[in-house]
Amino acid sequence: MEIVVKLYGDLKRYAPGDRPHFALRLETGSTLENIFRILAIPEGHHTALINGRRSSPDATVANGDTLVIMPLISGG
Amino acid sequence: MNGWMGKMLRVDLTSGVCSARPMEPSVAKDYIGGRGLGIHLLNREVDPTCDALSAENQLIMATGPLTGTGAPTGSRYMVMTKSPLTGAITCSNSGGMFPTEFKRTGYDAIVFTGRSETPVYLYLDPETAELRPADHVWGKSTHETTDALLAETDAKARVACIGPAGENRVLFAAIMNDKHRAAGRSGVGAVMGSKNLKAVVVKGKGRIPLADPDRFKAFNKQKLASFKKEIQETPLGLMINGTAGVVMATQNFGVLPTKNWQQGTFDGWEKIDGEALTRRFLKKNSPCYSCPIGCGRKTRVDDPRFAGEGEGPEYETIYAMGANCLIDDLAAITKANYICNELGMDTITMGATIACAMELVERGYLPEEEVGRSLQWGDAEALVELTRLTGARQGFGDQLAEGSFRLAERYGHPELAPVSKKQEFPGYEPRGAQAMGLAYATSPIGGSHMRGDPAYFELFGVPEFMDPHQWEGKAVVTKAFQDLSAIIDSAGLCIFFAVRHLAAKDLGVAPVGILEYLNAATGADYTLEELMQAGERIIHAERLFLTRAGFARKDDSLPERLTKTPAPTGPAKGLVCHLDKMLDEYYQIRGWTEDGIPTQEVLDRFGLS
Repeated sequence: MEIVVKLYGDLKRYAPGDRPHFALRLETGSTLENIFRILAIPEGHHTALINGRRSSPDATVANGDTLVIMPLISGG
Repeated sequence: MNGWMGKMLRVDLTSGVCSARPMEPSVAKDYIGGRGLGIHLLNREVDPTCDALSAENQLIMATGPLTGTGAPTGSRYMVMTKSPLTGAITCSNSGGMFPTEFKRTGYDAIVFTGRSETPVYLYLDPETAELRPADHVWGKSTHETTDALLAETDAKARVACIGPAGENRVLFAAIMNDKHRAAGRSGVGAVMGSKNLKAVVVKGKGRIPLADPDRFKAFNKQKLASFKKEIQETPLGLMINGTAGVVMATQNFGVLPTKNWQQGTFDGWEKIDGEALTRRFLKKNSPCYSCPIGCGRKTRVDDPRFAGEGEGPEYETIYAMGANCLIDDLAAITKANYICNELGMDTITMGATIACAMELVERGYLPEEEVGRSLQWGDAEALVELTRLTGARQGFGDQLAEGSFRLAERYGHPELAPVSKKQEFPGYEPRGAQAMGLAYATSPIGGSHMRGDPAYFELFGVPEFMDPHQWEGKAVVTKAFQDLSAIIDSAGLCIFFAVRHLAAKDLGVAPVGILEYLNAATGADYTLEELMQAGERIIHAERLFLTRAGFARKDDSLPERLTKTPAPTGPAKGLVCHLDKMLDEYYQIRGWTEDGIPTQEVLDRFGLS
């Protein structure tokens, strides 16, 4: 299966190529934890949204999902 | 007294007499200071039904017991009065350097009464309190006024003043201090203008007396060390891109108000977010007094169309003048922000009112001939020109100066105004952040997130995440955050440090760290329970003023656009805000009737009868 990953802020440096937005092929049933490991993103210190919903590391992604990983934000 | 200076200055603008009054210790303890002291004085002295722009209204500027003490972010003051925009109260607070200097004059608060016949300013230092002629600065911008008054008084003094917008009684005129800092919301500047009061110039001396300096210093050291450790582990977004960094969060959660609140996502968001601001315009950070965060931004725009230099924009400005108007030109947004600072206007209401006018034009309710120019979505030139015209109340600016509700009502469609109690919302869409809708509806100043900010637990995960799409369980947490905000606003602190570092790390957000600071500073021996009760007391006292002014459940409302029309785009697609369900629960928790009126039992319990 394939998902779209969008990295923002200082998370962009974990993109496998030049682009912070990219398609990622995964095994069915992959969790966010698996994805963080594949992309070498350390745990914590960021917010992960699957289709705009904040998700914990054990959440699974499905084919066609969009995964946003952005720094923790505050203020406003 | 310690922490508190122990006296207030009363300035009768009608007679020109300035007189000192003692601060009663029991009032200080029960209401803390700042916002709490302000509502106590308003309830005691101002008729809630009076005309906000008449001599009958009073204008209160109040610091808190932690202002100027060296506590992190202890830099704030509060402006309280009856609002000409909403008819309710204002709670406009600001930081920078002015509030600390003000407190070092020896006064906790200044109460302005009456109305001067001619333009005046107040000069205040520990030996002097006098009204001086201000005819020579009337009509001048906030920057020109500040420079002129510093030149004729003391270069090291600090100035809070109004610009032409306040003089012209723009209903959302701000009071600007240190040139770029705004007590921005609800028209405090218009009240100042109506009193012919152009400025307050303060020059202090000495330190704020502390009850137990060693205890204070030890706790301060501990707090700053843990803050430093935390930001090394997890960089704080506010320090990197200022509040503008929030655009990334609200867009991706689908709660970035766009196209006059029709949707919660904006395609052009990356052109106006914090990274773009840092990359294109940032000169340096600009912290308030005693702030380890420093979210303020000194910026410069070289683009010849919108060239200028100043501070900002903040997140709220970017939402209101950017996404909400479909404008992705950050140079224009920044320029319009500079104009608001110089003319003295609230950027949120300005941007939201222009967005509302754009929709009125699009739907054919407002002819462009009346605007005097084209006014299509995304028109950056229009944003800048209309902002300028509004401050001067020239041309169509005279109508924009009334805010979005009166504008939309005039053209027959008040439902298009993004307001609660006639005040425009800040930049979080309640269809995708349910508690925010409850916070807007129950804020005593109308549309505001700063009187208990649910973005912390719905979007930022502080102290922990609650699902932003669920309404269940939100009333109790919103209430806890509102009570905490009342304490923060009254103590003289800023929400940006206190919520994360001075409150318990659970959804009850008990003010444990503020308690230690307050007791070390004042020696008032607050128990945690007493301090939390003071927070609640302030909320009830504010509600009492509103009740007497005629406000009730009918006014704790959101536009049907948010409660009946499902969000059309983004993660919140298909959702509406379930305000009514949250309100029922909220009133019950507060001890208010189903109609939102504090019960006699509650008033008795908090000494408000």
